[in-house]
Amino acid sequence: MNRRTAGLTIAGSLLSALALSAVPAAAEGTEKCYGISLAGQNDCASTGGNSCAGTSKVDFDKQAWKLVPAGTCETTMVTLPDGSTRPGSLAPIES
Amino acid sequence: MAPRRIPSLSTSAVPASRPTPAGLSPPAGVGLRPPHFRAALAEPGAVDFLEVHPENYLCDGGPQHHFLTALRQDLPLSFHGVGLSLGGADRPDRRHLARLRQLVDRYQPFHFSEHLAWSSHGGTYFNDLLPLPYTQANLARMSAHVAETQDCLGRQILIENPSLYLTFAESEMSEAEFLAELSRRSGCRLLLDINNLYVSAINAGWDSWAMLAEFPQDAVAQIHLAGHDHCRDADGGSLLIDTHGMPVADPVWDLFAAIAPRLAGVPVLIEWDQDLPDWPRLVSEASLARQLAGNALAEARHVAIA
Amino acid sequence: MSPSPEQAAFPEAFAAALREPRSAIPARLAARPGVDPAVRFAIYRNNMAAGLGRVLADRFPVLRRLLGADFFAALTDAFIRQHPPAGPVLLEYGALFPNFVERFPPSQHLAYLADVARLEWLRHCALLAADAAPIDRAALAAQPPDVMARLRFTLHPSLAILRSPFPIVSIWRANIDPANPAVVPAGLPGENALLVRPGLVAEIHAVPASRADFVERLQAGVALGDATNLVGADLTAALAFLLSAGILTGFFPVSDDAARRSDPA
Repeated sequence: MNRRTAGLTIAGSLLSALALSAVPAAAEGTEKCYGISLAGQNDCASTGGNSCAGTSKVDFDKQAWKLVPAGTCETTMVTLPDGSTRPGSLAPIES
Repeated sequence: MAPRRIPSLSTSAVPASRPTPAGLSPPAGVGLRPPHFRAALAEPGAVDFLEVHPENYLCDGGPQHHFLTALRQDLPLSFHGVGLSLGGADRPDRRHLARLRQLVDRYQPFHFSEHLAWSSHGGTYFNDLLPLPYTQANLARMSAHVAETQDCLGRQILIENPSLYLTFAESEMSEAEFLAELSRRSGCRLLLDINNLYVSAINAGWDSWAMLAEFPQDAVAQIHLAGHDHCRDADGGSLLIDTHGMPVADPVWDLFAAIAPRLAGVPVLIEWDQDLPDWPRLVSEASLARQLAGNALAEARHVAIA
Repeated sequence: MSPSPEQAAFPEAFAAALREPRSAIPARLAARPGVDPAVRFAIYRNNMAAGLGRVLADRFPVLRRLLGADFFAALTDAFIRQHPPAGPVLLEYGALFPNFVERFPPSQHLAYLADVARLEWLRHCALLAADAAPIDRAALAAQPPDVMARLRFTLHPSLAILRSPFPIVSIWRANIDPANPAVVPAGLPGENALLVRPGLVAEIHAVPASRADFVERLQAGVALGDATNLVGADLTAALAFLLSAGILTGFFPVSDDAARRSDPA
């Protein structure tokens, strides 16, 4: 395939792609974004964090070394790069 | 290259008082938080202005600017900074000031306020509004920091009284004296946070009514109201935490109603940051402030005439 | 370092005592008569730690769900103590967190956690990135066919790619909605995450390595015709993905001079 033919093949792919693809939701037109977010993908997720309020919930200074993960690690199966499969674990794994 | 959206600000920059049967009531606004973006856009007439922490909008694009730009078309906006650490030992961060200036130019807020507090020292940001001793040395230093900030932002700023959990033995003057002199030296105006005043009074063992009377009222350009948590000290006494997590407390409303006739037309803001209510509940708190101030003003006029 | 009684309470000793929760508090602090200032000082320590902990919990919700709230709080407390914010803009806080997760001894055996944290940080960054209008499709379609292979593209400023030996996109999707948790099945291969925020929502796509390579070449300014070998027969599908995902925002043709310089044949 010479350069010109290759170029026309690429042009054909680009024109097909333009015909096949949908227009992405634009930043303008908020209404387009209603209802299309999956759970957790909502656009107000980034709240900034700066505040001038204090807190009365004393929840800092946890004893990290006594803790083991207690979330969904144990149901999240992971294939390691060496090919072995194992879940997260509730107890530290001896290495 | 992304097209830079320059908002055309169709709305007057300054919030207006509302006429009521009893006379004029002050403009009432709310602190805008992201979960309320859409509700506020759907019903912008519910409040007279919005306030945000500018630090939360120091980004290039995305939802934060999308919604704030849209809301700014409908409503006057106030900036309430929490990061300049003006009461601290270090000079205000020039890079941070430059970024704030850009944001001010873009959104044209009618007020820019900061705190009688510090939050950074030696390159660490402590994410809280920390207390300082009310001494002549700190007054001189903070006056210089406020003046520098006003120069960089190209405008007068407001300084707010803090919520205190501790005071310093070496303080040489009252908070009100410190604020009055700060305003006189730097040319800044003041933001009277009545919840903070009450929280500090209870926590430090001061008289909130005396504090209110002593506050330099002529310099007040905005009022804040918020809710606090009521806890117990080890000795069984009251300890108030300024959580902004509930409705405004009755003693704070009482102080507000008492000062409202003296501060007629001064914008009043409801801050709510934790355990956020839905938008209508937040709006009703602002409406209550407007109504209370209107009633107090009408009553004061009635008393004056009688 | 524990502040000495001689040290000025404000600000040096105050700042030092905030950074070290078990240290003595500065001297000459007062409160209401009868109240221990140390109890009051703990409120400031708590405000700092709890506030920053909330920021990290909002920013890394999947990691928090994977580890559980208690473990996550212990992790963030350790991080906050070691890496408090260097500046007042908390939108920028947490960039160092994924690397800290990678080295945190109690969870070091869960090697995939750091990549999950990296994915969540990139998602946060995508939400803050500059806006860009989508590509002018009509103008693109109107380019002469013999020019198309020599087009270069500008890509959306929010675009980011994260290659992982772990199925991070599947793990993220299974855990982002607490109301609909899913189990990530065993045996999933590693995934390449492509993040882009064409509108208000940060989208996370899992893409083949060849497609990630293709996007990165275009992002580097390589002409379309010089990048197509990376996707081969998949070219139409790859371009359709780039268009519908909002990754392409602009184009400009390589000038004939530049084309001759880069390709003497």
